[in-house]
Amino acid sequence: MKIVKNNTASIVFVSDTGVSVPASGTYTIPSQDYLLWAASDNIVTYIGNSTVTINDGTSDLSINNGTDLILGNFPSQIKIQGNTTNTNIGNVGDALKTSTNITGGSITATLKFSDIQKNVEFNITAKAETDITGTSYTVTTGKTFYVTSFMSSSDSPSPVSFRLKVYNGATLINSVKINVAGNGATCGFSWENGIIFAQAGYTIKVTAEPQAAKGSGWVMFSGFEV
Amino acid sequence: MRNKVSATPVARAVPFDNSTNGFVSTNTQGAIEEIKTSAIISASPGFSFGRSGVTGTGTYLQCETVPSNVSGRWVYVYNAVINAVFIANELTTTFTIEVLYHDGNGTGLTSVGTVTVTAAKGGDFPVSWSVPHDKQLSIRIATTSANSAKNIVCGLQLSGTSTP
Repeated sequence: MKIVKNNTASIVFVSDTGVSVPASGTYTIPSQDYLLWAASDNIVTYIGNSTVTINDGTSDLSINNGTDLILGNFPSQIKIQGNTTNTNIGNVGDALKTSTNITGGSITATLKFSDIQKNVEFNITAKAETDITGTSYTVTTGKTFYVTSFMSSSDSPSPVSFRLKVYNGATLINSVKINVAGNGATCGFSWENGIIFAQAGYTIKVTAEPQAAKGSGWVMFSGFEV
Repeated sequence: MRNKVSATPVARAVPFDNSTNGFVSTNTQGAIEEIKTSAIISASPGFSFGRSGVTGTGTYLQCETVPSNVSGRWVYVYNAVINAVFIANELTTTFTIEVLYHDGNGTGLTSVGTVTVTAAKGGDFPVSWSVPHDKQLSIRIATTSANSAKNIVCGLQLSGTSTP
C-alpha cells in the first residue's frame, strides 16, 4: 500500500500525477497508478522537503524509504513487527519472539548434533540372533528420533549380521541390516542430517546374528531427538 | 397543342430558411456547402477521461493513463464547441467536475465550465462551451466539489469545423 500524507494545512498538488492531496489529508495511490507515481519528479521533491510523508499502510516511512517505495525500489531496510507488541526488530537488543524470548544465541532446529549414542563391545556366545545388551534406547515422549549412523565390526572368523531394529511394544516397525564379513571387518552407514527413524515411545535396539559362536563384536548407533 | 417546358433546377436559386437551425446560408447550395465543413465532424467521437480509485477535489482525470493536466485531448477542430458532458461514477453522490483547456503540461489552464452530478452515479449534461483551436482539454474534480468521485469516467462531445 502506498499512501501520501499531506503534512501541511494547504492542498498539495502533485502536478505530474494530476492529484491534489487534501490539506492535512491523505491520498491512497491506486495500484494501477504506481508506475505513474514512480515517474513523478514532483512527489520526490515533496517527499524530500517533508511536504508529504509516505506511509506503507503500517507506518510512516523515512524520506529515503518513502522515496524508494514510490519509485518502486526495494526498501533498504526490512522491518519485522511482533504480533503482540508491534515493536520493530532491527536494532541491537531486539529479539524475535515466539513463546519465549531467545536470549542465549542457541536455536533448536532440525539441524543439530547427534547427542544420543549407543556404543557396545560384546562377546559372541550364541549362533542365533541375540539382543545386544546395552544398545536399547526408548524415544522420549513428544520427540522423534533421527538416526545419523549405524556401524559394526567383528573379529569372529565367520560373518555376522547386525540389525538396528525399532519396536512399538512387541511389534517390529523397522529394521536396518548390516552384514559384516568377520575377521576384523567393519561396515556401517551414516546420514549427516539424520533420517526419521522412530516415534515417541518406540524402542530401538541392536541384534547380532553370527554364523559361529566365536570371537567378539562392536556395534554403535547415534542420533538425536526433535 | 402546347409544348411542354422543362428547366434544370439550380440549388442556389432555391431558398433556404436558416432562421431556426444555425445555418448562415439562405439558399440550398450554400447550406449544403456548410454541411461539408461542419456536419461531417459535428458528431465527434466522445473525448473520454477517467481516473481509478477515490478522486478528490482538485485532482485531474486521466487520458489513456496520462493526467489530463499534463497532456489533454487536443482540440483539432476549428470553432470548437463542447455540446455535452457525460459522466459515470461508482458511487451515488453529489460532486462537481470542471472542464479546462491548456497549452500542454499544465500551462495556461483556463476553466471552461462546470457541471454537477447531484445524488446520482452520473448523467449527461447539455452544454455549449466554446474552446479555442489547438488547445488541450482536461477535466478535474472541481476544487469546489462537495465530494470526491470514485472510479470516474467522463466524456466530452465536441463539434466544430474542419476549416477556420
